[in-house]
Parts: sequence; structure tokens; C-alpha cells
Amino acid sequence: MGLALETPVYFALEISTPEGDLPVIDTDKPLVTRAQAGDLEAFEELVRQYRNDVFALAYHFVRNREEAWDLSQEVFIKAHQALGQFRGESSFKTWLMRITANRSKDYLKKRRLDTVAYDDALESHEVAAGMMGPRESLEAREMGEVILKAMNALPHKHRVAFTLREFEGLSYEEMARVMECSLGTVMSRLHHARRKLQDKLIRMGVVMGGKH
Amino acid sequence: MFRSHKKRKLETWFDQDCTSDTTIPAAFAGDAELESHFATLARTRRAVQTIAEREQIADAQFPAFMSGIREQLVQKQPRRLPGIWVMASVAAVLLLVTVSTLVVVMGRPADVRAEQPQIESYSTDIKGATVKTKTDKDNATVWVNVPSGDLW
Repeated sequence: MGLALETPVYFALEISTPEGDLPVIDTDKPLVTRAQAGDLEAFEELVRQYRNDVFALAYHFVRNREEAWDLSQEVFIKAHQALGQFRGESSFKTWLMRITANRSKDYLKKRRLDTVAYDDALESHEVAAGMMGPRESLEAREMGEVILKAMNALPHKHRVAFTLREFEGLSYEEMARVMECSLGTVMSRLHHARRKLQDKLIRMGVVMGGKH
Repeated sequence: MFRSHKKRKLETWFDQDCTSDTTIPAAFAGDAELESHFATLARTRRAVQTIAEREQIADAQFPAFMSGIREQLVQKQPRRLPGIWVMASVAAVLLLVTVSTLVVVMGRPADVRAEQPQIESYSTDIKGATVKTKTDKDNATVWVNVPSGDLW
């Protein structure tokens, strides 16, 4: 390059990958390739590696080990059937979590899991709160149980967002890949989930707060 | 709307940059509503962390877990005929095609024909009658000559 400069110019080279476009972890790629070719042992190894990621997320939705077990198996069966469609645009783990989130919605509908009508939970808890006093701080665990019940009443997409962030600790970028949406949508859904949960906690007197 | 925007910014900071949930950044400090919102976010996260036990499938349970998956995968595999049945089917089709082709190519089969007739013996009770026979390819002919005037 024949560029003569009198004063030094410093370039900042920024490398960024498109949103949601991180490559497959190298250690997964050979296994995934073999599994796509029909190697069941390779697929079994992938199941072994990611079973707990899938199971933990499934459990967050169904809150029952047996149900989570069934749901997790369904996820891996679906994954095996759809292996040919996996192109490595996201990590295999992200892809599995996406399947888990999608399957959980269908699973909950199919099983007709009773979502605790929040108002019912509100009434039962108000009685307890009345006995304890609304201003008395609930033990964090009790508050957590209340949050779980409140989550049952959230729209699925908001519930997924809250679960991925607060229970699984995913970053916004990871959440965007799992939920197949933009970062803005991730933040919006998370915001709405928190707002709805907070509204309900305020109504219960669990937290103080005003209008949004 | 502005309030909502500020709350979203606070939540973004809370999710991405908050290392300690006890100190609100200066950009949001001094705003009672935002401070309240921050306190709720922090308390909610603490509450979730106390009940967010990460359920797992233990190593000892994995074989059973994988076995259930394998069973479903085998059941869902498309049916495939055993090799011998495929071969038998192909052979049957080939046979039919071959026979049909031969029939078409070689024309109708030859007519069924009896062997050339042969007259083994002949006799007559008519006195004076003579009998002649003639046999060709397909026919056997018998003449009986009766003396004139002897017909009834």
C-alpha cells in the first residue's frame, strides 16, 4: 500500500459477528456431522452433553421432574428428526434450547397443565399476607414460590424470556438466538414479563411500587 | 412513555452490567420510581435464585433417559422391507414383465392340433359293399361303395 502519512493514524479494528450468528463450538462440530450422517452413537454423545441444559429448562416450564423428563426426551427426538436442518448458524446448545422453548409451549397445551389463575393464587396468598402483615417481608424463598405461580399466568413468550434470563442466566444475545428474535424484542418481552410480575407482586403487597 | 424508556434502560443495565445489586448507577439515582424499580428487580432476582434449583439427570439415570429416546427413534423410523422381500418383489415384477413381453413379441400361441388321424380298421355289414379310405394331413375319409339297387 503506497500511502504516505505525515502523522500516525491509529485504526481501531472492530470485529463483530452478526447478531445471532456465532459458530458452532468446534468440539460439537464433528459429533454433529456424524450424527447428521446417521451415527446414533454420536447423537447419544450430544444427548449426554446437553441433557441437563435441556432438562433444566424444561423443568422451569413444567415444574415437575417426570414431565420434564418426558419433555426433554421429546426435545431430543425432535432434534434427531430435524438434524438435517441444523446448519451451524447457532451453537448446538442454543438450537436445543430453542427446540425446548418451542416444544414446551405445545407440551403445556397438550397436557393442559393447570396454570394457576393468578387471582386464585393472589387471594390465597392475601389471606396469608393478611395474617403476616403485608409489609412484613416474605422470605426470599416464599417470594420465589409466588413468582413461580405468577409466571404460570404469563403469556408463553414472556415466560420464556423471563425464564431464560433469570433462571438460565442467558445473555440478551443468547436469548435472541434461542427465541429467534431481535435484541429489541428480547428486551421488550423481558420488560413486559417483569412489569406484569411486578404488578401482581405490588397488588399482593409483596413489593412496594406505583404505576408504570 | 419516557418513564417506560428509562425503566428499560435500567433493566438493560441490570441484566448486562450490574455486578452488585445494591448500588444503582448515578444515571438513575435520585429518581424515586427508578430506585424502587431497581429494588424490585434485585429482590426478584434474589427470590428466583433461592428457588432456581437446577434440576439434572444424573449419570446413573442417563441410560434410562437415552433408552427412552432410542425406543422412540426406532419406532419413528420409516418402515423398511427386509432385503429378501425386496428381492422377491423385484423378481416377481421382472417375471411378469418378461412373460408379458414374450407374449406380445411372439404372437398368439399356436392352435392346439390333434395328431394326424389314422384309420385303424373298418368294416361293413352291407353285402357287396367296398370300403376305401383316404387320410391326409387333417382329415380321414371313408368311402363305402354300395352295389347299385341295394339301397333301402
